[in-house]
Amino acid sequence: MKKVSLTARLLPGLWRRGKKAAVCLAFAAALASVPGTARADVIWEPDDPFYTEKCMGEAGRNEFVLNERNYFTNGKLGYLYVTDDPEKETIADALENGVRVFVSFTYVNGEGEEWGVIQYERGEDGQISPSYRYGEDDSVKTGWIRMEELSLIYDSEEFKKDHQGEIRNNDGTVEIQLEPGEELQYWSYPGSGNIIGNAPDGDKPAIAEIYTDEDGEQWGYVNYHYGIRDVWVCITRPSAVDLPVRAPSPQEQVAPAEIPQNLPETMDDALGEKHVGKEGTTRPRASTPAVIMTVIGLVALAAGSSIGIIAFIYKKKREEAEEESGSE
Amino acid sequence: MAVSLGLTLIIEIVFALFWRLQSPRELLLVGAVNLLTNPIVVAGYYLARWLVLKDFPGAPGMEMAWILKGVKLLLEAAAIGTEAFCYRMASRDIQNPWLFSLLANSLSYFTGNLIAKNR
Repeated sequence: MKKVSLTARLLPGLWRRGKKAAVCLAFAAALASVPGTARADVIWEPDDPFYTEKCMGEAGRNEFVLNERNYFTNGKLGYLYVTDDPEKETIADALENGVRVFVSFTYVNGEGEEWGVIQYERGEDGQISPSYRYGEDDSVKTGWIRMEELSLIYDSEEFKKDHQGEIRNNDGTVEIQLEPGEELQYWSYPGSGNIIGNAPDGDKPAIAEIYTDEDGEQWGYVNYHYGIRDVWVCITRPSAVDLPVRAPSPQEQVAPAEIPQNLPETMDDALGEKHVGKEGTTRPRASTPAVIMTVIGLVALAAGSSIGIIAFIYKKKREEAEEESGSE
Repeated sequence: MAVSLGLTLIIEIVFALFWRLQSPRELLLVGAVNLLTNPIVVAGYYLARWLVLKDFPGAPGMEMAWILKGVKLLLEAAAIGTEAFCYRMASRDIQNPWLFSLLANSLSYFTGNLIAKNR
């Protein structure tokens, strides 16, 4: 049984539909799924057969790296292929460029290529959006896409990396001051221009870290607050909704192109015999017989040379033993 | 495969030094014996893993894990036996080749597992 946790990623959509309801739902979910502390928030796992099978196997989850970030699809062809198995690279679907996807875990296959697992659904209007539901109907799909064909949506994590030296810990002295009737706004990161929710009257989250922007506005980082995770509040103007936008320019996007009607069977069929590996070097996909022959060759070489050495030492031992018996 | 071989050689040669094997010839023998068995064990394991995953793709994960654990045990036992035989034939200083082989292989196996888990 998989555990589902409502985290901040689910909440923005809900907020837009009904702010108060979302707050209540977030609070209820937080209480239900996070007994004790905020750190106990459960990691969401995709309902993907490859992921599940690997997790049940010997290596368990060790082969997967937690990612939990949002990206836009940005394939070189104007679309990208989705495989159901990052080792066999069999193609199951394709997504046009510009689709927002949520990569929960990454995996490096035998070729050294990094793949991310996504779960998504097509709405009635054909629009694709990340999905966090489990097995309710066939509209929810999972699959693996190459990380190099994604462009990261700038987020709080990236902002913190870029402003590492300018962010300081809150020693407890900085608090949010709200006038009666003011609504605290949650931002994805300072200067993002992206409000992802707001707090009900008088609700004040704890500020973990402080950042001051170029205009002297002070921002507070909220690690976790009633289901809301990884958000920022403007301490100096907590209810303002028109703060200046300073989002970094997005990565270059390849224009979306029409996806072919008939999808190729494998990534090799799709991209030719060679495709680009993780390190950015083009390398041929080694066929299984070639790999087996190489391994057999290397093992035979190692075995042959070691047998030679052992035989030489054995011979020496025999000679010494004969010499010793001769001298006696 | 190269990492596994390198690690095994280091661990078993250090173990041999603790066993008070000091002559270069004996240390060379320990190295050669491991060069003989380690690649075969590693390649054999990956071959078995590939065959199991290829032929039983729908098998439950835990079942596959147990099959592979059994394969690993057999290969390790064969390696211990082969190494002990080589030491018995070619070594002058290893008085108890079976015990030496068993302890050296156990040490390298568990150290390798520990490193892999904490990687």
